[in-house]
Amino acid sequence: MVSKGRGDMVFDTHITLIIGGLLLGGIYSMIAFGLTLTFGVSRVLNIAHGDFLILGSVVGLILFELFGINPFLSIAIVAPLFTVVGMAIDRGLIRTIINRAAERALTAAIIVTVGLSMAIEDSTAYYLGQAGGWAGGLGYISIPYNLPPIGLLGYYLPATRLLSLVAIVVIAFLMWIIITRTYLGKVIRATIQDRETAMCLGADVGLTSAITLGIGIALAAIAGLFYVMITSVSPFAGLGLTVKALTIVILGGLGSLFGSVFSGLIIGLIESYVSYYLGTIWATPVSILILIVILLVRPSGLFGRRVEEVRK
Amino acid sequence: MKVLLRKYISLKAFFGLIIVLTILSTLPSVLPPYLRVVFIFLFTYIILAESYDIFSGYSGYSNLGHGAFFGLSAYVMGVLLGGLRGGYAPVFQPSLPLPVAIIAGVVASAAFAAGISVPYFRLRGAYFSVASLGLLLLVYYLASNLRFFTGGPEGLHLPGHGEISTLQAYYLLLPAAFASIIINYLISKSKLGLALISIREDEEVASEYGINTYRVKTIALVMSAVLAGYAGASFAYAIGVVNPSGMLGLEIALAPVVMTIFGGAGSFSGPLIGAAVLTVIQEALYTKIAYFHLFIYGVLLLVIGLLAPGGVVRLRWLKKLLKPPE
Repeated sequence: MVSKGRGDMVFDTHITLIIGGLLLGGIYSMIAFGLTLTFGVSRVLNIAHGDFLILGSVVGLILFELFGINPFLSIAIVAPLFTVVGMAIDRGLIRTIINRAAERALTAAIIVTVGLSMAIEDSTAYYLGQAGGWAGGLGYISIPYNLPPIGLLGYYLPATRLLSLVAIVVIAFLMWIIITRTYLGKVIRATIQDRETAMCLGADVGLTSAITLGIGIALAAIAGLFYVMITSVSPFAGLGLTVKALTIVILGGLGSLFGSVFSGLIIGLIESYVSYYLGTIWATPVSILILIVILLVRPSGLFGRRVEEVRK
Repeated sequence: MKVLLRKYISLKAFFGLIIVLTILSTLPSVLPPYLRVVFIFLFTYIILAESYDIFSGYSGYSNLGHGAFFGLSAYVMGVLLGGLRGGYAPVFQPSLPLPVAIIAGVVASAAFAAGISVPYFRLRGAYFSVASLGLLLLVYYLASNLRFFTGGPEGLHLPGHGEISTLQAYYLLLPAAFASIIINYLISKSKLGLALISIREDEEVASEYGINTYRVKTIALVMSAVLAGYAGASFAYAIGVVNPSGMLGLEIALAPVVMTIFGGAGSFSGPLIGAAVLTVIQEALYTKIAYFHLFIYGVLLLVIGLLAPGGVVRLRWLKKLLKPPE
């Protein structure tokens, strides 16, 4: 499976597919990690999570088209912006839900976040179709940002994708430092383990929830910047992405931060190969079928805790 | 029979029901065609909302993929009826009579519900909701990808669609809408309903007290799938086109959720009120504003979730207002 390039350099199908798969997997890992983190801390599953990826890519596109800002540099604008947005959503919406009784809180959380998701998707689609008009009214967007491929050991490597991959690794490293080496990370881990006890020991759980939602949403938005460079994004893809993130969370084991990152990479690689051999239209159905198979075979996921614990 | 009736429903309410049913069944002869379609939408939404409520309202599991049963049945019906695929040579094109096609659609969605209950009831709470949304997406993608069966994104065009088929669909949906309301009401009075409510309150305790939670949930899910499947097949027959965005789109999939929660989940009157009010609002909006249907739905959901999670029927000030003065 080798096609000839210029001179001695060649494009190798498998290297391209693996780099593409790892990048897609890294993007999925970012949203799945954010979802696990926010659900662990605030006990509210944010169904609008995937929509913030779309919003991130829309902001990236606006910065690129109107101000000519490189998508990699716009991380510096997108990250703080969406952290603030996430904290505002926590204060405005999530906090009022958490304080209800457990059963009420669950239904209310689903309703409110689905409502948020629908509102975001429809208004984004309207904006992209009307005001922006970038997609010719269809609403599909992408950032045409491409670096020339790098030649290495006789192979051509896609430079933009490699750079995105490096950026994701850097972000993952930063997240690892925050979670394991800082006071904030300590409080986050304590809250995930036992919210009440953490509160009793003097942790500001409310503030931590807000910051975690901010981090989760910022991660999704940054992932959107990378996502919109490799594929065209529809404003209605948000719910599908949340479902995919959930598939990854279940594959990795509910509540396992490491599991969500690892299984994100696996799903990314699988989708990359499925897209190449069966066609891109089969990528999403295959990942949902994987979800059903995991639930049948190993409901606790790859790195999950005992089933009884997971079921709660 | 009379005793049975008395046990569940007062005679006054029973005769009231019969009068309403008679009025509605004579309506199509006087209604203009546009309003006939509005009523078809109304009945479809009532069936969808009531059937969503049978499982989700009582058990507390929000099944966001309820539209999958609707769409699956519509597709099975469309294929068996001999729907035409634009541009693709059909692999399989029988032309069975309508009742057979509808029954096949209903059976397919019931079987789908029973099959999916095995893996899906290993999930709880919010995880179940999002995973069930995945089910909807799965059926959506299968419908748009299996072109030779389903006609792809353009869908199936049903043969013989016209004035008469719309009228037939009206009479297919009207009794089903009434049946779904009555079934929901009967469930709220039955042991099954009690078991479902106890699962909603605390699944572990319900299980300790000897309720086979898995079986109860599966029965409720299959019942709701049967009703949703019937609505899907009949609605598709009324519309004449079965395509992924129409039958499996978010607008029709989330409508029952919004309507039920707006009216009040876990009661027979909630979904009915929600479906009636929101269908009227929706029709009014379609003619005024071309955009922002989903946006309005979303904001409505958000506000209800924050301010009145019990729905309209559980608003205290409204109850007080409607109570006759003593």
